[in-house]
Amino acid sequence: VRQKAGVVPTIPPTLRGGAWISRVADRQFPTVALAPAMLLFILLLCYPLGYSLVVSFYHWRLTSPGSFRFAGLENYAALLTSAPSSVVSVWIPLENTLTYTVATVTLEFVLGFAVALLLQRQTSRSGLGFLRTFVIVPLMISDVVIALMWRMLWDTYGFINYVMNVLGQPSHAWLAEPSTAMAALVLTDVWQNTPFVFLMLTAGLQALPTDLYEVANIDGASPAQSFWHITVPLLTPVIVITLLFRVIFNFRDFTKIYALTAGGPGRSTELLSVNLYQEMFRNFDAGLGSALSWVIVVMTVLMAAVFVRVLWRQTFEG
Amino acid sequence: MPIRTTVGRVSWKRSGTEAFYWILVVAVIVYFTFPAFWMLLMSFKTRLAATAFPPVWIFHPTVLHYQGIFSTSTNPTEIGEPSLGTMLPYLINSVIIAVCTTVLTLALGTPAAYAFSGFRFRGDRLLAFAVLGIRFLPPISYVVPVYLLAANIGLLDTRLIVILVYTVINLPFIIWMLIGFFKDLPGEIREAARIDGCSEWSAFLRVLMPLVAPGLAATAIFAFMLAWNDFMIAFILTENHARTMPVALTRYISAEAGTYWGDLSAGGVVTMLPMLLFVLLAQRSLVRGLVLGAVKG
Repeated sequence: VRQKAGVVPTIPPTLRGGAWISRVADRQFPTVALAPAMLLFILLLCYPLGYSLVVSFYHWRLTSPGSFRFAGLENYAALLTSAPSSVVSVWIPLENTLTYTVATVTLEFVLGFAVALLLQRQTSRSGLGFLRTFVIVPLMISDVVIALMWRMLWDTYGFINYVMNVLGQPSHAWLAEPSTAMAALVLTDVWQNTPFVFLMLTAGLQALPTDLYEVANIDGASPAQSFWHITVPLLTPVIVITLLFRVIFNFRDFTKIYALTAGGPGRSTELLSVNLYQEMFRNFDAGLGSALSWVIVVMTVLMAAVFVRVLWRQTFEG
Repeated sequence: MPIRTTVGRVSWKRSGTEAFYWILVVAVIVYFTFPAFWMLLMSFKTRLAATAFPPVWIFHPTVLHYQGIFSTSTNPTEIGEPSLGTMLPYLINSVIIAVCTTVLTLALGTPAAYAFSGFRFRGDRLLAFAVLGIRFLPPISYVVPVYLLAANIGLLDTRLIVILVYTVINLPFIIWMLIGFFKDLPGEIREAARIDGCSEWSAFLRVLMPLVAPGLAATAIFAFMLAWNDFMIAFILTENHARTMPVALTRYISAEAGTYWGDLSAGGVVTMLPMLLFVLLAQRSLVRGLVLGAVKG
């Protein structure tokens, strides 16, 4: 917008009368605009995290106030070097968490990609919006409500066993049998989070240039060849982000597991987050709980570092 | 016009299996909607119908469970079936907490996102990515020290602590989503406002905020949703006074679930209803927000 000749710029009301606060607020705009949010992070995020780091080096059982004493690295040592069968040891929950994460992310990726390709031809019609509304329903529902729905489906007298019986198969107590509980949790999460993969890949597919496909078509490439040589390479950045996103978020899953199996039967579905909850709020071991919470943070940081690197490259070097 | 790729189209047309294609599409839709539909049916079933095996499809519907949830009476026997009693206080808590979180998050997040999107200053990228990093912090690791500190100062089981924790956890996502919406606006708008004599603040509040309003609305829905849907934080930080709907629902989910399936389902329907309305009303901007929030943060 060009200034009209002869129009004197109006002095903003905030600058009148030498209100120095307004002047500082204006000159230091980014600082002032960021200050409240950053202050909140420092007070309510950095401080508690620092506090829990300190506590992680202490023995502290909440039920016996006299137990507070310096422990050095003993909490961490207990987590990492206790016998794997011990409740304290991190290895069984870690193994469960990895199983859960790898299984859910793999299934969600394959299924989500398949659905994205299936509905792809709807992109240019208003049909996609309509179909998409149904597919994204699970993303909007609370974990608790999802656990409730699936609790009814997995129940011994629930809908899944009804279908099994119709197919001539015996009923199972899906959530109560060690051999099926983990699979039931994985499939519940697949229902919830496949739509996320679908959405991300659909957005990626819509951004692909059409002319490449036309050229490939003219050159006699089969749809399968187009898919492997055009779609997959061009979609790789979106795929990487989608996968990392799901890995980090499925790794920390708590609510559905807690509400469906509470880590059982035995310890067969006890993920790290459930284990942490039990150390902290069932055994009231604040020292050990804090140490475990930092072990989880470090694992997440390692995964997030990969993610942030990829994003940084795409944002600033792409 | 949206760009259309032809990978899927060619192969389906060539194989000439139009019917098969539509069967697959219907199967996908049934798969993603059936559990919600089943819970909706359950919420209208009497206890007898809810526990019938094989499950019944046709039954005499009852609204007793909804009446029970919203009744002001706390006496379960008045309802005529085993009942969890009223859930009204928890629903009110959920509404208050989600609304306050939304307002607070946007009030803090909008200026921050604007500063990140339109200004260069020392360490701007580093700070923006530090904020992004917070997003990946596992909430359970964060809520452990918050529990210890809040217990010290008597803030456990208050709405305030839940609102503050939700704000901290949601803020990174909200800031990055808003950065995306601000970056969609041409940079010249701010310059023009400045040349016309606006201060930075009035350029931001009077010129840019109204332009980014649709994005703000979508972001507000997300902020609300994250607070409304959460279980874990409210579960750990509240006891009874500040208990929210999701926490109230899980109390009976395992041991005595069969007895209360009608009530639990009705509660589940009430909890997911606002979210489903959002999907129907703002499907396009929600999808954009989800993708934006993931791709850019």
